[in-house]
This record gives sequence, C-alpha cells and structure tokens, in this order.
Amino acid sequence: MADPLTIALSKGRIYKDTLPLLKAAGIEPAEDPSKSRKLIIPTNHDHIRLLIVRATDAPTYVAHGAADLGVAGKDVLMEAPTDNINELLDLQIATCKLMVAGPETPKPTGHRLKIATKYIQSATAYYAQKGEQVDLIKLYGSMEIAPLIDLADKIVDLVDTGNTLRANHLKPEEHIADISSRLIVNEHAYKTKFAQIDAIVKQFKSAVDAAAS
Amino acid sequence: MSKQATWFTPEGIEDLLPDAARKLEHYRRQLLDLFELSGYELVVPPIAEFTDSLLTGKGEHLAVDTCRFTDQESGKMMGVRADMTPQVARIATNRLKDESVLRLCYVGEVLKTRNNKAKGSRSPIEVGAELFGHDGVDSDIEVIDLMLNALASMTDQSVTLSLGHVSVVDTLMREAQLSTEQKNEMVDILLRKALPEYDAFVEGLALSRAMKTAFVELPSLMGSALDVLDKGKAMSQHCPALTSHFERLSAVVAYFEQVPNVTLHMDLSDLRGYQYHTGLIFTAYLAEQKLIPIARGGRYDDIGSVFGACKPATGFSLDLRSALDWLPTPAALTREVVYAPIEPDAGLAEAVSALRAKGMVVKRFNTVDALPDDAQKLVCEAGEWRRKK
Repeated sequence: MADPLTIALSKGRIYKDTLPLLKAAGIEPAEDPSKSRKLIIPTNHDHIRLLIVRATDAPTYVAHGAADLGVAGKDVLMEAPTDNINELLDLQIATCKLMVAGPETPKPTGHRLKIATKYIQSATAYYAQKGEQVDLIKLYGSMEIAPLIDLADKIVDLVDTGNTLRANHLKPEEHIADISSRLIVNEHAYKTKFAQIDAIVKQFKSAVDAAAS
Repeated sequence: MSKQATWFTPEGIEDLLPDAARKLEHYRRQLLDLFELSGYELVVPPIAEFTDSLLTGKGEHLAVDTCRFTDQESGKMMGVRADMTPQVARIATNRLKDESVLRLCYVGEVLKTRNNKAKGSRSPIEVGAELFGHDGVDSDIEVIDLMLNALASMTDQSVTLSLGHVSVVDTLMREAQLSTEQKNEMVDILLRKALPEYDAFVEGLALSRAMKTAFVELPSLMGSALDVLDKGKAMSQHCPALTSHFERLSAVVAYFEQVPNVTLHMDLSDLRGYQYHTGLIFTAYLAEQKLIPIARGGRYDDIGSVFGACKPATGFSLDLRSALDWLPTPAALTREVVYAPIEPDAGLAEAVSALRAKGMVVKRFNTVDALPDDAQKLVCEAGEWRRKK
C-alpha cells in the first residue's frame, strides 16, 4: 500500500510553475488554491495532499517532517537551517539572482559598509568569502529604500528584471548567486518512502529536462 | 521577568509526570535486562567530566553542544555530557583497556546547549550498547541484531533498517586524491544531499573517466539494499578499492534479509556522523514513524588512541525520552491498594511489610485523609492486624 505523502508549496509563482511538474508526475490538485481558502489541498491520489504554506516556511515543514516533500527557493534554503533536508533537484522555475545593489551615484563612506537585507546568512557568507566585514541591517521588504535615506550604503536582494532597482535609482553591482526553486525532501522520508519519492523525483526531472530543451 | 516565569522550564527541558515516568522506567528496565542477557555489562559514567576528555578524539563534533563551566577545584574546563558514547569509549580504552573484547551498555540523561527540535530532544535519555575490540563484520551484525531485538521488545511494528558505509565516500575521495578543501566541500554537500551542487562540484573535478563514472553514480546508490549492492558491484569495477566495503555490506544484508518484519534500505552517500564514524552505519525506522529515526549507530574504530589503547568499536543508542511518543503504554499495574494507619505498633509494621512483600501497595494514612468508600484498611481486631473494607 502507498504511504501518505505531503507536499509543501507556496502560493503564487512557485505554485503556478510547479503545477506542470506535478502533472508530469501524475499529481493533480483537486482544488485551485487561488480560489479556495483551504490550506490543505487534496489531489487525484487519496494518499497525496498539498500544503499551501508561506515560501519561507516550506523548509521548516520539511525539516520537521510535517511535509515529506516541498518546493523552496534557493534564497530561502540558503537562509534556513539545513537539518533533515535533502535538496534533490533544481526545478529551474522562479529564477532570479541574488545581488548586491547600490545607488547609481555612490556616496563616499568613511565607515564599514552598511548593508540592508532580508538575506542575513547569504550576505554574511558572501562578504566573509570576500574578506570584508560589513554591518548588516535586517529588513523584511522594500530594501530599495534603505540606500535612498541613508539607512544603509547598499542592499543585498533578489533581482529579477531590475525594474524596481532602476525606479529607485539603484544599480546591480555584484552577483552573489543564481536563484531558482528546488525540490526538497525530508531525509528520513527519502529513506523510508524511497520508491514513491524516487518515482516523483524522476518524473519531475524528465519534465524539467524536457522544458529546458 | 513576570512571576509566572518561575515555573517555566528552559526550552526543550521537560518534566515527566507519573504516567510518562512509569512508562519510561518500564522500558528502561526492559532494555537493560535485554542488554544484560545479551552479555552487555552496565557502566555508569559521570554526568560531567573535563572537556579535555569529553571533546577529544571522537568527541570533537560535540564542542558546540556541550555546556561548559570552570571546575573550582582545578581551574580546568568541565562539561556536561552531550553524548554518552565518548564516555563509554573512554572507559573501554582506559579503565578497562586490558579486556580484549568488551560489551558495555549504559543509560543516562545528556544535555545540549541548543534546542534543535527537528533533530530531537535537547535532553535525551540515551540508552545504548557498545561492542569494543572487534573490527569484523560479525560485530556489526551483532549490534544491529541487538538493536532490532531491543525494538522488537518494545513494539510489534515492522522496521526499516537503513544501512550506510562512510568508507565508500572516504575511499572515493582518497582514490581521486581530493585536497582537504575539496573533501570538506564534498562532505558538506553530501550531508545536505544537495544534488544540484554535487553535480556542479563533480563537474569541476579533474577525474579519470572511471572515477568520474563512480562519482556521478554515487548519489544513485540509494534504495532497496539488494538493488544498491548490484549497482555497487558495478561501481567497484571503476574503483576496485571499494570492493571490501561492498563485501561487508553484502554480508550484513545476507544476514538481515532472513529476518522477518525488517525492510532493508541502503544509502551510500549518507554521511551522518561522518566526524566520528569510520565504517558501517545504520538507522532504524518504524512503520508508523517513518520520519523519525528511532535508533541508530555504527562503527567508530580507532577510538581511544587519546585515552591509551586503540580499539575498534561499534554500537547503537536510542533516546527513550523521544520514544515515549510512540512506545505503547505498558499494561497498567493492577495492584491492590491497602491503607494502613500510622501507629507505633510492631505488629502493624510487620503486617505492612508482609502485604508489600506480596506485591500490594500499602499507603499510610492518618485521620485527616479522606479515604475512598471502598478502601481496604488495615485494622486491629483482637490484637491482630487484618485487611477490611
């Protein structure tokens, strides 16, 4: 008999882009979460269900075993503890870049760089690897304001088209990492439900490869 | 701090109330009895030691998890144990170093500086068994068998036994002559099984064609044990140094394949405990708790060089505190309860002892206690103490 499987997804772009992959694995949600307020969505398989969670929470659900599988951005994974999480596949969806951005006309600074970011771990690791010590200021959104009002000298943020940066007179400066969504799995589930999960991973992989070619 | 904080316990630190405590004690005794009957002798290491001994050799990975303080007697650093295995290893290689083969078991509470809920309790009650002085596959099989017996004594659920062997990755890295930095990176990637990163890492290595095939295939050496062994044999052709590892794994699989209620899984890029394990490792899962590793262990040879004598070792442990979540509640003790008054009377004392010797619960009471209506009482009639409702 098939073991129950729970897959954690976030609403919006990740959900929309993951749907075709799920379909390739023969999994179809019974409801559309954008039209429903339900957070647990059944599928065409009795033993498979989807959890609709916040993007930053997906690794937590998987780490604690509340979900067997999940889809999470690499940006989120780089910030979260990695305990119990295996990262199996680059889904090549929701792609963007993690970058350092600063004012179009930089002001000279006599102090350590002040960096405003939501991505504390990634920014710390990036500047440590550059051999530079910086002061980090944690923000949860609208990072682009920080350099304009002298809260920070630069920001570390996700950049997609770069339109928001331009609108706020900022320019991308340094590339930190390419970001895309990843298929993650609880390491214990991957062992104990191997055959089922492996089948889904393989179907996801062929769908990703087919989309890329 | 508000007043209510006085009854708070730290995060991850919990009381066990009578029902849970009784359950814990029931299984603690049961496991220690099983270990004793299997030839494993109980040792009781101290709760705290010098960090010099707690954190040397195979204990280095425990540095962050160990609560430390200064010994006011010697000025040296002490630590509360975060794991009992290094302590038992110290005993085996120093205090009992003359014994060639040693079987030891232990139970005790350990404490960790951090509360990592995803990884289990912050103050596990570790119970385990270790076998020192034998490096052959027989001792691997013996401790896994003991672990499965221990689980079978506690639950009738079927078990998934996941096997690994850290020397497979070690040998590949050695044969490919990776630098220390490359080794660290590869271990870090495999611990997270971050496959997109692994592919990029392997792509960047300068490898012979045969070794490249072996590296690329490594993460796929996972799944049902027999399938993985087949793939492993093919892999040995690319890297003959792996042959002995696969032979050992085959011997273990051949043994446990025969055991009913056990599913064998194998994952050869599993590097759990890479800092201290040196060979075959294993984890047991139960059918109804598929996402919780219930018991685990593995080989940690060449322990003890820091304590005096080098001995091969393997063993396993489980956390009884976390196990309370899934352990069946033992049948309630149905003991008769008798109430006895508090009076200075030799006959009464004798009657109380006699009842307790028969396995009855004798509670003392005095006149202010309200007894249940149907309570049995010890009453004195014509100079004799008798039970009466």
